[in-house]
Amino acid sequence: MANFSASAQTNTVASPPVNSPATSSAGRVRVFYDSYTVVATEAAADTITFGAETIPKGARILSADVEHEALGGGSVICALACGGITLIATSVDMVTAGVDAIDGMVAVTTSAGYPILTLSTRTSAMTAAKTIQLLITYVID
Amino acid sequence: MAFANYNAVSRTNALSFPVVNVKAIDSTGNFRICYDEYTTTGAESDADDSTITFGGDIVPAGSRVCFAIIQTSGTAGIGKTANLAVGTADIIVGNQTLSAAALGYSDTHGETVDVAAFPVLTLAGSGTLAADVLIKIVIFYVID
Repeated sequence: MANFSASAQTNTVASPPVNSPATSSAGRVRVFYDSYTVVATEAAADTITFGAETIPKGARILSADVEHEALGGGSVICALACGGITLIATSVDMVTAGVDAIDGMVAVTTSAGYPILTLSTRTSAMTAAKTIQLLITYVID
Repeated sequence: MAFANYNAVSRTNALSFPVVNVKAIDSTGNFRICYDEYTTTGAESDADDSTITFGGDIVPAGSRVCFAIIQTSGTAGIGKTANLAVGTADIIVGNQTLSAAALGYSDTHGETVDVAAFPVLTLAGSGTLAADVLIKIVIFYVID
């Protein structure tokens, strides 16, 4: 039978071996969580920034879940980005309650940064006091 | 109205006397990951049970594989599927399709790895894979 080796596996069996970074092998998963309460003055193109600390440069983001109540606002479409990479290019319409998730496996962050939700579309004022929660898991070490 | 409560394994151990210690892979252990990616060359075929091995570091014996994600960037092979295992721990057993760009998830959650092993993707179906398709996997496991 033939065996083919993926990138990190190739590095491991090379001579001399090439060390795999923690973001690929055996790194510990960290959690990033924050929530935002709508104030109703948010407009299209505005951004919502999350987090007490930045997600570091070089982190591998494993998951990003945006859980939102029914935000109203006619139609609310968002984009989520962090550290120079796009996590969600075009969200579901957040007019109705739900959860939107990361667009598959993404590259490592190219800079340290806070996750930023951009209101790509917002046709009318969102409903005040509604919440948006963000949960990200990532590996850096 | 009276109701009855039943205790699962770890709960039973925690309540026993003397107390039976709960292992980290069952309770409060930390997630670790194994991430790797592979670009097909067009030489991969299931005719001889071809496999693709992933991982920079071996997944240790005794690890509990909680779940795994696999992603293909395009059509790797019409009519072809793949299964993912870490040693004897089957992770994807429902045949992950390779016939379109897809994001797939583990069929099992919580299998333990009996012998230290790298994750291995085994191909099924007929013929060879298309070239230049990127296959990524990430495995979440707990050991301590």
